[in-house]
Amino acid sequence: MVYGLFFKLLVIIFLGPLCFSQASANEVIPNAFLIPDSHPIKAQLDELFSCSRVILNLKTLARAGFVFSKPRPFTHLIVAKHPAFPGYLFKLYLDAQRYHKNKPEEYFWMQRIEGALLVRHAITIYQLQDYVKVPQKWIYQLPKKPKAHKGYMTKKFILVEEDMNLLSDKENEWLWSTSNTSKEHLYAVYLVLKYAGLSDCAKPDNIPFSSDGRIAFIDTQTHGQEVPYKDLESCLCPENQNFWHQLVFRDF
Amino acid sequence: MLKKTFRLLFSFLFPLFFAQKAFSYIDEPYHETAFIGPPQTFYGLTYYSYYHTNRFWNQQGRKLPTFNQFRRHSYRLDMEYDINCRHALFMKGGYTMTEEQLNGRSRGLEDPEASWQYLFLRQVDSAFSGKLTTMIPIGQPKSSVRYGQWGIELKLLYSRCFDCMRHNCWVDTTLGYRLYAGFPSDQIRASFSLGTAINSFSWLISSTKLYYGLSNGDSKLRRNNICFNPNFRLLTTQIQGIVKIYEIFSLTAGGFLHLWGENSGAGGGFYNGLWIIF
Repeated sequence: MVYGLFFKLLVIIFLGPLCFSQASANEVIPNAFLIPDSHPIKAQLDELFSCSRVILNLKTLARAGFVFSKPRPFTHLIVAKHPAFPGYLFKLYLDAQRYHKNKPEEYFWMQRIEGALLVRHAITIYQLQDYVKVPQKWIYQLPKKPKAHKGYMTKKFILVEEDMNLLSDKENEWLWSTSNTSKEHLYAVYLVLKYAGLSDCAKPDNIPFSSDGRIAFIDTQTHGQEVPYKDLESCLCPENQNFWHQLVFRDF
Repeated sequence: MLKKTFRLLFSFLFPLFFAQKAFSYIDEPYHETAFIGPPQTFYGLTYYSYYHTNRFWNQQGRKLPTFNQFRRHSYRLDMEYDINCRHALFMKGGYTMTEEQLNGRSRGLEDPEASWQYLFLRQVDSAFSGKLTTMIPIGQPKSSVRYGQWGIELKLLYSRCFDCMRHNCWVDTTLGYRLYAGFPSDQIRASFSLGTAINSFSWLISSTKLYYGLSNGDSKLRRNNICFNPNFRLLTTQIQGIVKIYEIFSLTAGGFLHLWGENSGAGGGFYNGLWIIF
């Protein structure tokens, strides 16, 4: 299984440029990123999104049964859940929203999946499964009909990912600020951040604790960049701050 | 004698001297006039403009809900300097902040514009001018704030004064062509304004403006169905009042309404500002 994942990652990293293009108006999505037809929820998703234009606006999204938060501050994306799909999260843009950074939505979904693959690879090679995890992610292509009215910025893809059963924001903040965050957890986080270059994950909001005690990497969009390790230090208890400082500056 | 004549002419045409401003920005107070003068006069207008909508016109001119509350707050400065009776220079700039329910906030400097106007023909009660405007990109394109592109505009202006029920009135008409290098589309711009002096210290001006894009803009993914769409058309109307509060200061306030459009927001708003003239 390890060798299979390693091989898959090699294919994507080295043959990736041959399989799909970089950011452009029409992104070509590798089949490996698309939700397979055999996936347990695929048929149900097709049925749900064929009935009406679910992602037209917030009202149509609510009418279809989704429960969602307000658009995120910087990315403006909407994170939603649906009672008919327990264990899964949906990240999407509405037809009523503009294209974020003038790029098609699938560009960002692919970035997130690539980041998640890097995290999964780091977890595998460093044997960090007991301390950190990352959700499986797939891109779901919406049915061609029903279409949105002309004038709206029609979206064609949404991101489906596993629900990591996260703790509440308060509980998460408390855990990070106390010695309940073990040195093993911190070391695992440091290794993953360094390996994948997840510049947005050096903060508790994006690496929250889940109910099984593991830290989940939920925001994997920005990867391959310099990580601001110091940002996490201020959220830790004094003892963990020293340990984190040693990790970052002495490459423990 | 010449000085006295000139002063009389100035006081009659005083309100027109407000109206020298380029109205290349949408939803701004003001109309344009072909008249220029008096020489070595500076005009400054600082104003606040507010626009709100929750509907837009699509490419077919069909009015649809945005499902996304849109608000725009703009703070602008317009300046004019009349070099002599034939030449005038203009400069304008501004800062805009937009708030959208689904797309968050956007804020930044608008592309400034510099203009030169030349008076071709002047008679006692009419004038014919030409105006050249350059749009200067101040940064990268920013949704709902600026195109961030170089452009030029050529415009012809014709104005005429007349008397109506013992009130000094005037009409200003303009016709221009705005050229961009592919993004956004070229535009034909036209306006018609009717103004009247209510008394010696207050004026009322009504304007209708047409922005007619020629649909030759390259949109890529930079679509915005409310403002700064690469291919938009818009017909707006506005009414404003000007009140002189001191020798060199005047207040202005007004409202505007979008009447028709394509790839453009509906709705309307208001503005208020302060003139300084010396």
